[in-house]
Amino acid sequence: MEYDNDDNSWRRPSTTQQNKCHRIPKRSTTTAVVVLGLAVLSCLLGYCVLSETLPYESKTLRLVIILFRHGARTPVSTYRSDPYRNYQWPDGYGSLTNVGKMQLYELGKKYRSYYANYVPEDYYEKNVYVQSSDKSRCMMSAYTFLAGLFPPSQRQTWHAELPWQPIPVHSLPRLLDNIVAGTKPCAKWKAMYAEQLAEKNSDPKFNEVFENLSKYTNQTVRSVIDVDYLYSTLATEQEAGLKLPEWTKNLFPHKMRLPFMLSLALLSYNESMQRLQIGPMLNEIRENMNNTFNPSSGSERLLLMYSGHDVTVVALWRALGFGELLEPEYGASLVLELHEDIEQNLFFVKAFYRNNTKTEMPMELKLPFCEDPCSYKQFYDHISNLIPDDWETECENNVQGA
Amino acid sequence: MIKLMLLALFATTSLCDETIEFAVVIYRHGDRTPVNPYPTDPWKNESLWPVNFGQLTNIGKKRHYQLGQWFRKRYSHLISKQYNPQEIYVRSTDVDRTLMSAQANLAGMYPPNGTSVWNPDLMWQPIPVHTVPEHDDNILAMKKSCPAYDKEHLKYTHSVEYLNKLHKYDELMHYLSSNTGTKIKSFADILDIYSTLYIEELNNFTLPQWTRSVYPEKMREPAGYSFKTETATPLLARLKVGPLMKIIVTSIQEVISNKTTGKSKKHKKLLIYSAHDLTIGNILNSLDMYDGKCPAFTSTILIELIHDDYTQDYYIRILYRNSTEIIEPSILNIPCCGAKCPFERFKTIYDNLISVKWDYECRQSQFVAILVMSFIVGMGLFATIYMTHKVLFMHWSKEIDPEVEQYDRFVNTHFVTLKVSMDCSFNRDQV
Repeated sequence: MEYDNDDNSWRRPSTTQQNKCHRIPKRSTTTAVVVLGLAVLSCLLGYCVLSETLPYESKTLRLVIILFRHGARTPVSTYRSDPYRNYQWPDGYGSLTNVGKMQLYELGKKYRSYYANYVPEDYYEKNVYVQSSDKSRCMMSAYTFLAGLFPPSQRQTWHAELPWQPIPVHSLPRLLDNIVAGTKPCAKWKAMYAEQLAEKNSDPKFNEVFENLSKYTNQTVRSVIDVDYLYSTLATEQEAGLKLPEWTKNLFPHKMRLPFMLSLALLSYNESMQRLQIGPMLNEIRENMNNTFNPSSGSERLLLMYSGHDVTVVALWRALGFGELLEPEYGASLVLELHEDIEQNLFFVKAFYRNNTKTEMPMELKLPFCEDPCSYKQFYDHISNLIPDDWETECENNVQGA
Repeated sequence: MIKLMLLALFATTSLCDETIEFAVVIYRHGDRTPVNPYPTDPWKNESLWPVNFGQLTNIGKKRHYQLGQWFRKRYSHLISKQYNPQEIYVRSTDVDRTLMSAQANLAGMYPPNGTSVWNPDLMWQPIPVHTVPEHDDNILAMKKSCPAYDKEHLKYTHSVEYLNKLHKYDELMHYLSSNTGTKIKSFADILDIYSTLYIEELNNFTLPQWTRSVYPEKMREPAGYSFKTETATPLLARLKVGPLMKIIVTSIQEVISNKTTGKSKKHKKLLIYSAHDLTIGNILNSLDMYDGKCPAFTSTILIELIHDDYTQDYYIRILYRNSTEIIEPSILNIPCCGAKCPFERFKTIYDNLISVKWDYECRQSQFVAILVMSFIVGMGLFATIYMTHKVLFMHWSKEIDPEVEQYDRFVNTHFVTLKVSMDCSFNRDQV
């Protein structure tokens, strides 16, 4: 029944158009020519504008995977000399703010128009799978992203005044999550991380920053991870419009930025760490791509989405072979597209990155391990190198537990 | 109905000297399409339905939204008008319809106002709904593997008690089997058909002629029984519902100790669980409160901690609403304790559930199984070694054959006695 409504609404505009056409011959030929010319021009213009916001390859697109960082949040921690130590943050530490909710909503809307030719208007559970870190700010970001991406179509409207519909977001509890948050305990990774951290912390080039920060914060700063926390606290305070103390001027952000970005990268610093930190997510990506690649799987999935943290984005970034340090802003998103060139019978992968939610056009990334276009085979081989056969065994968790 | 209204009246008037300090709500998802229509179903074509099989419908979303509004009203004194993450915790089974129901429910419960309006064009705000994959979830989905449970369940479904009850419906099951094109052999199978027919009727699909003689009257009772089988014995109930009841009681305990010690330590005010009819049935039956009626869409159990402002005592009250309509729930009678049960008494009554050590107890029968397995493997190894030995021995000297036979007999008897003693220990563990 609800389908019929849609059909009617499709038919209606075409009949009104016909009426207009009938009127045209009654007027003088010059106006007719001008009107026609204008119509053609506006059509062309509209087409040009539209085609720019749509990816030209949308006909070859088969699967889109999006990993995004949550939106703006309140600080996760404070420091000893923090003048805002007792500041009443809305909803407490580490909460998604209203700005953050809006950022992801806007991002969802952006992807809706960007993939308008690809993602159907109706939310259909077989097309979409969303997994989030169990952290509230990530789940809430996923919800507002989906609110922007899938506003209910007429058929899916269930509440007259509420242009929103519930869409399932799956998650794993912290201690079980080796997919998005990477918080499931892994003994081998922990040891490798500790080793890397010790090595980087002893780099003399950070001595000055550590010393200065220790002096001004009135607490011991001896590790890039301490700088990481301070950096993110100062950044969030500044975003909230709070005036930072005088001492920060010489240190924040420029002198703290390198150790901060290094701290994010350390979790997935080398290939062996990437296997354990992001390998399980790569495994899911591979599985989803494989299902799209094999028509026999019957997969109808068009979109796979992950709502994670800055370190999740950095881990996937590094696993894709990018060595540069990265500072993903709120709502930064990393996209993998699987395309099929039917004529050449070739599947290929494209990667894109938006560092924040304001970017209009995503930046296309040249995958360093691959030619252009990057064939699915090459991509498959690359990520397969980073996927453990058995994560649990490779983590040597049992040895640790025994 | 009058009784129900009186109860509701009682509940509201008595609020003057009583405060709800903490509450747990457990609800079933809203209206859905059939999960798995039977083979001969005239409506088994998925495209005849507004959403795919097993998915939440628009009516289901709307009902949960209304239920959320009702929660907001009932617990207006307990939880803030503004969403406060420190006050509530929402958990759902990892199934689309329950995850979506929870979100729709929260949309009704927490319409944004004041500072929580983040988008003036959208009077909705995101609130986290936590979940655990079903195979890892022993709390809400109650589907995490538990060998001790499986063993007990198998024992129960082969018991005389169960089989006698089931055999009463042999004729019905035979009739259903021949008409639905699938083998109907348990209460759960009857429920599957019953729910499918119920949903089809609800959606104005004409039911086939054959259903008239059995649906709904003759199927109602056995369909309702299916909610008893998973928690039919004390051990089944303990392993199925124990972990959830343990969390609930622990949370209540924390609230009381925070209150009595005057600690300002923050505790949750409301726990919300989004689950299935089987979850509702399992809980009610384990609490000895199940009335034999299938839980409807959005049916809700409310467990409330009440502080008597006069006597300063803490009580538990359990309410249940088994209706798709948002009507007032009725207060259930806690066995041997009544409508308002002192918390300490409540703990004693349900000790069988609360005291469960799930991981340990579930592995118990596995441990026995591993013992038996290793014993069998060990004996098998011994037998092969012995056989090769015997063959070689026979090869070397055929003359001492009788001796070998004696040896053979010795091993056989030895093997048998060992096996018997093993069986006994097996039985003892079972008890």
